[in-house]
Amino acid sequence: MKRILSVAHNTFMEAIRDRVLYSLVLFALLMIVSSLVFASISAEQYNKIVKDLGLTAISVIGILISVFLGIGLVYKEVEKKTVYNIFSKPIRRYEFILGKYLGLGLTLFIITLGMALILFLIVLYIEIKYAGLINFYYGGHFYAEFFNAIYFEYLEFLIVIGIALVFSSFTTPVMSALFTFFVFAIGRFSSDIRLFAEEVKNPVTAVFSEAVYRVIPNLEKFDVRNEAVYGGTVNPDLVLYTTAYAVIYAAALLMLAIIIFEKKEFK
Amino acid sequence: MLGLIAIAVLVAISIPFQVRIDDIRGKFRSVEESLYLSSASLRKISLGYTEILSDIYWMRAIQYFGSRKIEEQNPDLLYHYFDIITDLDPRFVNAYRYGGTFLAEPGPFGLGQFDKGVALLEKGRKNNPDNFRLPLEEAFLYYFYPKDYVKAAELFQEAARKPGVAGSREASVKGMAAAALAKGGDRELSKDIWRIIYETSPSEGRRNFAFRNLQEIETMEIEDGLTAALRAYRKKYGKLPGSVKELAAAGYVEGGIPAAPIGGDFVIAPDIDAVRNTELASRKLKEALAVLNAKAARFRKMYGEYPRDLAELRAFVGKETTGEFPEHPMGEEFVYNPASGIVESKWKYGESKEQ
Repeated sequence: MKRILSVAHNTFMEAIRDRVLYSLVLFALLMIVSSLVFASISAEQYNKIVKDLGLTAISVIGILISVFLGIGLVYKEVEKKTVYNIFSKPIRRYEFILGKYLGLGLTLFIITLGMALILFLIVLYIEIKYAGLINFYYGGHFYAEFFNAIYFEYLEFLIVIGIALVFSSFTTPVMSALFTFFVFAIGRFSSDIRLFAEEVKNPVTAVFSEAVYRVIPNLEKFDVRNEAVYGGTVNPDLVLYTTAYAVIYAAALLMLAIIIFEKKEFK
Repeated sequence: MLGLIAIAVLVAISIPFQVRIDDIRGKFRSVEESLYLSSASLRKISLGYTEILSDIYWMRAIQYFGSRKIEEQNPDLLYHYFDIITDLDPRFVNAYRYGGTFLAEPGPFGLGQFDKGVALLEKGRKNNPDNFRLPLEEAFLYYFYPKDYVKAAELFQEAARKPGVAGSREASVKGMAAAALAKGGDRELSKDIWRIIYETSPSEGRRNFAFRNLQEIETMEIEDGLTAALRAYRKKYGKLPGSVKELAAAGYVEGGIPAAPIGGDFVIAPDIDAVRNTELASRKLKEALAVLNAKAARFRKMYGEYPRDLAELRAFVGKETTGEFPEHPMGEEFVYNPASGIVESKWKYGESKEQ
């Protein structure tokens, strides 16, 4: 465990020194703050615009960080041959993979938390300033749903890091980025596959579609941004099951990454 | 350094070409064209971030329609816009409300596309079955424009049943349904609704209001009965009786003239061959005068002077406002002064003697 934490610590330190990270976070903050400008021309839909734009900014930037830092996690060490130094120490390959994952997961946790707090202050300002209007139009402020939406976004990041890590352990960063993006896009439209499975008459195709739907990451399940604006179906059961799904799926991805990495030969 | 200058020069040279390209392309591309994308393709492009796309379309719609005169706007485009917005975010209730109302209302407030506006609101009702504002908004549209009071009452009642309607608001919405039914001719159902409000409302003011409405409807029912007797008398004798007492004395009113629940007397309005209650007529007259004087003032605000005559005021109310020109409860013509813009009545409660 100590060795895993040590790799995680190094990964975290390396990530926060990355310029790409800072520019992405800066862009997210710019989007969050600019939501105030857009809200002012939204015909009184202040809270909706601020929440939609802010939550989307956090999600997009979080996904980009997960992909772009995730694809370099293993490949960079192999390419720079620093992996030999690491394995000359008593660190096992699975510990290396787990440490890398935890390091980036922690980095994203801190970044997401920071962005969420800034967004929350802006949301709070809007919700207090236009309290009567927002109550009239939307029937409440839905702060719990707001934080839940961010929590679910973070769970999605953890899965995307896992996907990037799997590809990073056997292919180049460019290919990893492409593959990760494709899997992400398919995951975002998982319900289309489900609909297809329900529609087709051929039982073999239906079973195949259903199997694909169950195996691909169902990233749509992490989208509760709508509830942050209108309130709705976010209850403890949903939080529990979604968390369990994310943890199990991320664990499966980590195992796959470990299996691939264990078989990799370093020349 | 020389390289940087060369880059700057090249960029500067490219600008006139860009301007020329914009000129050429501008002739072939309209704003409308660039907006006609299906919501299905937008949904795919959005990668799941549909809310933000819906917001962008919302703001573009507001800017597009805010920057053009009503007569220059394209109702098909407006419907398409709001259809996309609500496909991407089906819970965006205000998009259905604003879009539906703006489409359905006639000029100068809206585009006069009633069917399109109602279609948008119906889509909203389907996607948000618990929301009371959407049937309420649709009810107002039916009430004011095609003046379909039965449909309006049905929608008011639907709104009153929704879970989001709080106690006092529920009574108001039920009241609107009752008023629409009374206006549409279904007085029995209207009375039932006012009775429910009277018996269940926790607010004393609202109970009093419901009671007053119940009394008014009951008075109108007596008026109808006496008017039928009056017309039967006229049919037989070829002239109107001198008073309602004479009508009763001739045996046309069984059990004599009843007392009006709201007070006042029953009198004959010879201009419309009807019997009217003085208290009820006085209340209606007060409302009618208030409406007409406000409309005359509004006419002046828009055109710089008061209407020339009652005909012009009538045309203005009918075509350019959401209301309708109220009839004089005694069937008389209103008295209008074009210099002051004041509408008055010759008949006044108190001056009318029991006939």
